[in-house]
Amino acid sequence: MPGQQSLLKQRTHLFTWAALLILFGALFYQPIFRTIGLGFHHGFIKDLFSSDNFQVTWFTIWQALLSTGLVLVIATPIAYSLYKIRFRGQSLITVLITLPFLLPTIVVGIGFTSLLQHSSAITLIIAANVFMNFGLAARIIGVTWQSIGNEETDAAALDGAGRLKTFFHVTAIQLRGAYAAAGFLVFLYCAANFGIILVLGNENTKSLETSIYINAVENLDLTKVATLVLIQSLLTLSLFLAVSKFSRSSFAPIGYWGRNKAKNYEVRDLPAILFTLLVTVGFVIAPLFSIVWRALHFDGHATWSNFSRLRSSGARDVLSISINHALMNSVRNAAISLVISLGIGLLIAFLLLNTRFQHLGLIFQLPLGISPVVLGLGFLITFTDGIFPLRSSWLVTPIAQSLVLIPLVLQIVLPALRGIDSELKDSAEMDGSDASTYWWMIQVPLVKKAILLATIYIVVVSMGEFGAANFLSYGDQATLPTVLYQLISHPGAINYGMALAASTILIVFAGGVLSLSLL
Amino acid sequence: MPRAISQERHTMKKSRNSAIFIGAITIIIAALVVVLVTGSSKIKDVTLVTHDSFVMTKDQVASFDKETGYNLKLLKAGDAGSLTNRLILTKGAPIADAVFGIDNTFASLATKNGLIDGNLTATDFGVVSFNFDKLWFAAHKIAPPRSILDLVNPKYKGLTVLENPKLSSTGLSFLAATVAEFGANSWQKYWEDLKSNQVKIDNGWEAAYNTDFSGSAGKGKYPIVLSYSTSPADEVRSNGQSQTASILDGSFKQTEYVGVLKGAKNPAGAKAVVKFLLSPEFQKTFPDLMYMYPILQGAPIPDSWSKFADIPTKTYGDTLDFTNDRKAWLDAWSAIFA
Repeated sequence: MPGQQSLLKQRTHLFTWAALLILFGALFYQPIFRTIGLGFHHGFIKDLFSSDNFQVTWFTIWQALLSTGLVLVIATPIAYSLYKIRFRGQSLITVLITLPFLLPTIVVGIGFTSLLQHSSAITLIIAANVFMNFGLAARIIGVTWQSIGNEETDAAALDGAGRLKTFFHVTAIQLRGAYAAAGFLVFLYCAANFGIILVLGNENTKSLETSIYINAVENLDLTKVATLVLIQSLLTLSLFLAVSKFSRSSFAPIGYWGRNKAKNYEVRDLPAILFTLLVTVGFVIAPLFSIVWRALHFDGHATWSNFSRLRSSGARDVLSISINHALMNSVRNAAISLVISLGIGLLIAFLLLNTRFQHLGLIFQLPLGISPVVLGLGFLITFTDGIFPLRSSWLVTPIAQSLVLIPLVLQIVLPALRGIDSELKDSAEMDGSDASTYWWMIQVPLVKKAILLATIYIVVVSMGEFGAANFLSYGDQATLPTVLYQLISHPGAINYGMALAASTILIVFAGGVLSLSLL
Repeated sequence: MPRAISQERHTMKKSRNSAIFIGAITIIIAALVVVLVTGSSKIKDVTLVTHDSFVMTKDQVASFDKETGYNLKLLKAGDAGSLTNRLILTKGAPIADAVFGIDNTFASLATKNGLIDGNLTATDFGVVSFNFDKLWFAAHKIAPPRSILDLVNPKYKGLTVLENPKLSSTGLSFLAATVAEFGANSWQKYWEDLKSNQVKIDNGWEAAYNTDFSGSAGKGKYPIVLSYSTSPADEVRSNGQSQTASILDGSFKQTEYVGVLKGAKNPAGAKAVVKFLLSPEFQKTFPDLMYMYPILQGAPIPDSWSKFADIPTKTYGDTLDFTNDRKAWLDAWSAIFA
């Protein structure tokens, strides 16, 4: 009997694997390859190596490199003051510096547009990149920093090495893994910062993603688009693989609040603390407060009018639907994405834990290394006609988003599952429980926190997703980020005020969801 | 735990295990079915996709619905260029039944790609031309420019603002007009001269007209701007005179069209939309709501237009091949202004 049952189990697993592989093959790999395939005729090589492609690739890389460097420098003293010493208000600061990372790129872009009169586009793009990512980096570095002891640094200090010398000769080397993990992750995000560059950039600051968008929608040069998609995908995929190599889960630190064997602060720690406070107030609170403040003003007066206009569709009805309607669409999409990606993500996690073929996991992880802009365009090209006209359904956006969110679930939940002591499984098996009992009774409860964290990410990413939605959601299916972009593309105080009010809603939303992670 | 109970739970779990997998697969399949079903919409619905500047009042929509029995839905898809390109990208299963707002700079692209069922029908037109600030020139005791050739005259150095043809249809219209005026081999020289005469290039009409032009609300620094021949009618001051006037050459006539999309789910409804946009009831709203001239002979235009908006005698627009030449024009233009 047991033999028959295990055969049945094997068959069910095999069947489910097959279904999942077909699903990902059809919905994810097919559109990507079709998009690249658009370029496969004469002229592909010439377009691929054109000076224009070289220029946008180089711009994408150097703005991301510069931002990453700045992020790592700024994050270091902050990681130290939040994780190596103890002072009042640390938790609050940790929450605040995480918030920018959870904001939609389009909102960050809008927040920085008001500075365009004073600064150049490229300065603001770099500033926006740093704003979004320094908190993430500080937390990744800090968590590792906290876990290493002080023996070596103390020894170095006893030998008479100064603090900076100790840092560069001892600590930096101990932390190199964390720096690599944070660096590659931030680089990946800065190389796929579509919303920021689209809003803040101009003719001279085109990234691979904005060029893909402009060449598809404005120039209709699909051969060129295909070459850009190929370059962008190779770039982000290799960054993604580098991230995976250097950290089991670069997302876990956001949910990690473990406190804290650190010592109380000393006088010589004050510069680091002061720096942390200054950055938090000047670089996080001030810009966010400025968006909220301006949202509450119109024509120089304090007023709710920007918010009450959210019921309308903009000056001269520039939108197809009202902002409130778009907000509802976004909430609905987030809810559906949550069900799909958590359901399928956990299913894949379960199967991966019960198979010898761990490499199968990579097939479902890779979508995280593909730009949503590429996926959105792929969907538009692949599912417009043919046997499966998915594009004309309102489900198209949540489905596209889920494909990127499922790997995120795996990134967060799998390491936590694998971290469960294997003795537990052995003793559970002794008790006669099978894989699924063990899964529901032991594994799932133990990784509740990871699942909560995945939920937070899914909801936040889905609400703010812009790259794919910009291709797929329009008309009465427009989402909040896409109508935000339409509003700021049409100048005028009324539209701008509405964009600020909608941004405020997204900021408050991200803050609220983030506070869930404190649970 | 007694062996028997454990075994029973074991079996129960086993069937629950399979049930979960089967459930998951069922959900996936159900989702796909829902997708296919929701892909189709009600037959009474008719969707009109337009560029962002299109305005149709709620009353007009209601009146269309009442007259025809259809349920009109409006969908905006960016400027004329984005609109056309989006329709080309989705042409197998069009996002709407009818389209308004493809203009003569994009019409050939739409036709070449087989977007339209039947023909595009002209609905309205406007004339892109330079405006100048009469007060500014009077105050500075300089004679206002009479021709686009004056714009390269050192007397008018640093006085002109116009739109980037790569980003603005207004800018592209003027670029096309210079190609027609000076010829395929000489228009570049004119633009080089414009550049040496320090013209300012803005990203869009709003920035150029509302911010940089001295003769309108922004009270900017530039007394000459690329805009529309009807713009002076919106700058009438308390003395009953317009502060601005148009340069009457180098103008481009922009015509906008409506058409039925090939593959429309509701072609009959789409035809009703075309008919409605050409009706006197809708034609008379073009001047006030969209600042364009109605195509219908005899449709009323505002008094201020007859008084202050001179229609240039000679315009370009009919003979240019935008589909073939746009990219070459823009590349050459970029080379000059890079």
